[in-house]
Amino acid sequence: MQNKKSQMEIMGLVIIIILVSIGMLFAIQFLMKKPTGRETAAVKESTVAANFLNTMLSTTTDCYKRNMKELLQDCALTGGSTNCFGLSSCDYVSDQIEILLNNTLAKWKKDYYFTISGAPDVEKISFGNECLDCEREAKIQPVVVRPGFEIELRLDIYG
Amino acid sequence: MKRKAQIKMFETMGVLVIFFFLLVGGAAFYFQVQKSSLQQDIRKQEQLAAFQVVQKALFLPELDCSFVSIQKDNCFDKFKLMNLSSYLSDPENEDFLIDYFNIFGFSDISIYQVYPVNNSFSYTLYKNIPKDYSSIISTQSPVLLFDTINKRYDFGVIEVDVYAE
Repeated sequence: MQNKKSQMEIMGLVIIIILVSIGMLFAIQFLMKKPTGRETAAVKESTVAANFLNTMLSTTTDCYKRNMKELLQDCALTGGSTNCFGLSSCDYVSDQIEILLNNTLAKWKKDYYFTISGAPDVEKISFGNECLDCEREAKIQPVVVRPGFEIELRLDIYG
Repeated sequence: MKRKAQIKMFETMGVLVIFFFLLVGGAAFYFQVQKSSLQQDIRKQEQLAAFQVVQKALFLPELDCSFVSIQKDNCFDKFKLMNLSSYLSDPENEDFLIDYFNIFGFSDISIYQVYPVNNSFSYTLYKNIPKDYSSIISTQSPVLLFDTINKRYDFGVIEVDVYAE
């Protein structure tokens, strides 16, 4: 009789432990869950980065009505031989890119890092601060300067 | 004997009270979690809907910059934009606005130029704001603005505010 009662009590204890464990697992799962909405934000940031680079490259400047892509090609190839209102094409295009970034991403309070690689003169053009630990959406846009020689524009938008 | 039975009954009642107390607490926690999860889902859906409106606006054939049937991505023709904007803002063209309601719903779509900075080109393409709304989701995206007269591409921004009811 005493033995059966002890068995019953142990069973009760086991059921309580199982219930508590299920509850704890449920709570941990809830606490560990990533905040939703980040995926949508990531898609939005990625689209904005791609649209920014595409739009920027096709934008016409006041320097002989050349677009940004042509000025960057000139900068990469000749080191900025085209004279734009007393500035080299490298300095001029850098100023214009800064204006665009200040009027868009900076105004929308988005952290970004813009860089160009592939040629020493265009590599001097960079804006924003790099954040290695941050969540980011990056877009890379290659620009062909001449066959076999291309530069890459990269825009990182931090979430 | 009677006293022992009474104690036993109290013990059982105590266990039941604690059990139901835990059950109610657990259920309350569960429903709270479900409610918060549901609200997050609704918010996510609203954001997706807002993003869809931006995408629809970016690919409107009425505003595209096409040359010999070749369409330029992410580009609005300024001249077409000005005309469509004035047409949609005219109260006489309410039927026209209703057609666009199927595409844009309750939203406010405006396009403005940011480069060159000396030009104040700014137009509201579509505006339909509900009387009651719970939140506004704003999305901006860069776009090209083609100036047909001067044959140049300017840098603009499309700003879409979607109103969630």
